[in-house]
Amino acid sequence: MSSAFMLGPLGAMVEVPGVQRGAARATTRAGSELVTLGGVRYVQRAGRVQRAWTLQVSPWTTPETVRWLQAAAQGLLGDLWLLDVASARANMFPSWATAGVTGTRIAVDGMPLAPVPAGQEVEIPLFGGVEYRLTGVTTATAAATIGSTEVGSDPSVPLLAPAGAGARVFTETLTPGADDVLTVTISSAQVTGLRLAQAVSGSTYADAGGWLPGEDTPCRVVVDDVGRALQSLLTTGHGRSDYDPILLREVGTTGAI
Amino acid sequence: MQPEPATWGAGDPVTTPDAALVVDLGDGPEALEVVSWDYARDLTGGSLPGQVRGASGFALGSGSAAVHVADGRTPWAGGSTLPGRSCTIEAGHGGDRLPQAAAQVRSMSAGSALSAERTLSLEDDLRALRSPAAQAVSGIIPLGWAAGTTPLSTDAASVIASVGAAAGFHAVPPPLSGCVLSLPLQGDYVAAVGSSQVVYNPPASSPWHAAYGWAGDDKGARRIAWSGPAGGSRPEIECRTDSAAATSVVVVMGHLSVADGSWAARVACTMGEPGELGDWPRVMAYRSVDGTVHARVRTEFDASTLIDSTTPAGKPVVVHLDWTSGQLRARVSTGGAWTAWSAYSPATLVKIGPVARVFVRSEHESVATYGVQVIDTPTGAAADAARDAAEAWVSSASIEPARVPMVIPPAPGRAPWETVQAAAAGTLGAAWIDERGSLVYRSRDSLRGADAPVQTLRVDGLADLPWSVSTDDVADRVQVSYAPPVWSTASSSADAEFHVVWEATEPIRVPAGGTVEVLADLGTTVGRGAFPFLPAWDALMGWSWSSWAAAPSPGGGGTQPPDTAIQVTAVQRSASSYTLTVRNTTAGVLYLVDGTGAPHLRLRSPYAARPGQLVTIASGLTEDVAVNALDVDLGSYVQDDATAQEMLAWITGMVTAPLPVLEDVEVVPDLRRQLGDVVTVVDPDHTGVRSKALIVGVRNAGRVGSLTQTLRLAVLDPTFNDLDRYLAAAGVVTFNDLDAHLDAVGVVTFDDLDAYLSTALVEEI
Repeated sequence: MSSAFMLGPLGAMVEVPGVQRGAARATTRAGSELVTLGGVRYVQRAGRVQRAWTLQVSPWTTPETVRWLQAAAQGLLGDLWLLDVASARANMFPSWATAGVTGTRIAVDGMPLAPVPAGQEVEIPLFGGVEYRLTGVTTATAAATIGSTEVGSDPSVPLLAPAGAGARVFTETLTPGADDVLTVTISSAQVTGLRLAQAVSGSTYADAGGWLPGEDTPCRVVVDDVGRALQSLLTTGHGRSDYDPILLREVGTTGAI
Repeated sequence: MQPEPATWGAGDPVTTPDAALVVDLGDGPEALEVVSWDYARDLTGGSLPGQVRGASGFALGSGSAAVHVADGRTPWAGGSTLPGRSCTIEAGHGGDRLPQAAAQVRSMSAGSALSAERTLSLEDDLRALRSPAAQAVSGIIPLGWAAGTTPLSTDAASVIASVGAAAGFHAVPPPLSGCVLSLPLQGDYVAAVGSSQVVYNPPASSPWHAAYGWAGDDKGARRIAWSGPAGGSRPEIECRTDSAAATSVVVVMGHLSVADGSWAARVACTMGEPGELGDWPRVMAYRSVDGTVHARVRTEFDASTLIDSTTPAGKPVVVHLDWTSGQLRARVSTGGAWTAWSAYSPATLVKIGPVARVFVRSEHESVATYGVQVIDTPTGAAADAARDAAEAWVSSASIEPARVPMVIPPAPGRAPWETVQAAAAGTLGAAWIDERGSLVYRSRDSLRGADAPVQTLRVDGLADLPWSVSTDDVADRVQVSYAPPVWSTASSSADAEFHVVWEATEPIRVPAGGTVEVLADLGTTVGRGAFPFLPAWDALMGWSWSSWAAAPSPGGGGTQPPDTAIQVTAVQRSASSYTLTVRNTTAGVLYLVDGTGAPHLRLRSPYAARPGQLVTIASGLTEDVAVNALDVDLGSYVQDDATAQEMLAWITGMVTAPLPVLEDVEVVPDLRRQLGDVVTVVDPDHTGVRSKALIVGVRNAGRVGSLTQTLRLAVLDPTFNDLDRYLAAAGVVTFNDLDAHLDAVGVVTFDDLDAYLSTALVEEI
């Protein structure tokens, strides 16, 4: 991979070329606060976060560099998905699906996380030919079926609790044959710390294990139209322009395709 | 206060508020994404001014919601956009949600053609209460048999209960499938199925013995419970079932008990024909010393107990009586299941047969009953179904007694909601629709803070506490108008002549052996007829009791028919109408005329009441010097002097001086709070207020990441109930205890006592 971002409809995502360093990802979580007469502060927060990426394209580039973004802004590509590769190497799971909020907490990499609700089902789009590693922590009895994974229409593969007792890590790797949707179903009430990491290349991952918070990637985005400042137009070839930072805003929800 | 769901978290400093909205826009209920919502309920005071606003009135909640429709529907394209149907909003602090509104969509709008956001304007769903009254309000005065006994009044809240029941809002279960007798006892004695009358009414010192309490359930809903007047023998309500149940019945009885080990509210099912002596099975509910409620079946004369079992908490007593196998057996519900059968060892006096007559009685004023039903259950499956229906039923009304005795029912013919509003205003109570869509009525006692406070609002729970005091609502003269009835009573001597309350105006022709039905409409008079109908020439009673006269010719000539020629039976249809059934037992045509040809069919009554003139009582300055007089018309609801005087005294106390009002109090939101909750407001640091308050306005609003709640509070004075509760908790039982206690807190003079009651007591409660 030579770009940190991939954009496009599911099944036809391509790398976004020419993205400069300093790609900002802004997060807004709506909330409000109330301070009482007694000086006690009460904070209310929204359940989800809305993210927006601002991508800066290299200066003096040709229109080919931004053609994908421009087509997306013009609405020609249909439903747009953005994969943030750095996030994918961390954890592709939606943030709400990696751990729950109630129940006896399980130690995951030192963090006490509540188990996910039994029956939770999450869908994550994957690329064909790329290896992914699914990990989690469970306190279920050894060899018990704690869930299943299913890639597209392939038969589902059960997830089994590893041998031993206490909080244990289970791992599964999968490589889809083609771009497809992965469905992870957890049937046990004693699973938490879910993580899906994308391989850096081949079977090499960014880390050896552990848990990182969910990053909700890939997610649906909407691309704002591209502004430019024309810098040079020679007698042959395309004009070269500085393109304004392009805003990609997350829309909709993740976890269900 | 709504009951708290499992994962509530209102007091958490960090919460994630959310809301869910389900609306029917013409295609059935759909859940739509909420952008923002807000709903407000506010008690408006009817005829009372602002600073007493909290004390009575009605509230119609309203609000709005902005929703996202995925299909971008408009009236011309996309899905249905039909307003006028139901919408429910539930909201929570991040865990489980609580209902916030059961509303009707008044309008749906879109501010822009470019947006998929729609705004719904909502109002409490009153469709059932706005349709023309399906049932005229009718009450029956239960007057005693013999002259000299005093009538029992009904409670004004029975008007709201019966109007609400006709519109589908039930505080006690409506007649279940197979019901042959249903006696709701919600402030009156009218049977919803079957018929009822009070048979024995002990002489009491005052005719205004409305002995009602209220019973709550685990959802916080209330219903009126009846126990009859205190002291002496207890009145009984005799009921006739709609059709005699032949082989087995299920008896359902709600109960309220405030003392330990006291006598029970009793329902006795009479088997066989009226007048027969027999050993009748009696179904009872009572609470024992350990606090559990038992269902008992005993027989009338034999003291043996057929069965004694614990009733599940919050559920009515449900008993199954069966005599299909020639023996009386009984079993009691334990909540979804029955106990084993318990058979009555045959004794010669036990009567088994169709249930035609049922007596309902409360043995003691500390035990009350409501919602009595007798259900015909010819099969075991029918008995199981009756038990499950009675136990699973959820109330849709929460009505407490108004403590306003009434004899003359108010005029029917209004839309139900107007009747409810008029009843609330006339009793100085308040009525509203709550978050679940139930009809709620609270009496003036509750609105003055008779209940214990449910919460304390301290500085940590208040964002701010604005207040205002104004002279706008101060009155220097208060006038209260009410309409006491005019009584016609007969003396108690044996040859007393009762008053004629109705007589026929035209000759009635009754064919030979035939029957004629006559509607006797007493007009505005209410009364209970004196029966039987005797011939007018009867030497003994013909001119004292209800009477008829008959002759073979319309002019009155011809031989006088025998005393048994005409038989008249009467069924009371409402407080002021009877259906008389006249039967001619002879072989010739008879005309109901006397010897001169004048029509003669007279209904007399030992007790009758007519609506009286409006009486006005006043306090304060005289009319010619008063600058700001307040006139309160309690209309046809308040009918006795004591209640009117009490209301006058209270209103006077509330308007003689300017009272502070707390409006727009923003609080840390707690979505359980409801209109009518009593809370304590304590702010020693800023305003110095330490007082009980009534929530008379609630406004909740939510959007992403934000939930706000604003209250309007009416400041209340401590009541005797508070002192009672506080002293009971402090172990003060006798006057000596009280004396020692007051000494211990330093109360020596009346001023000390005043300060103690106003300040220290409020903090403690």
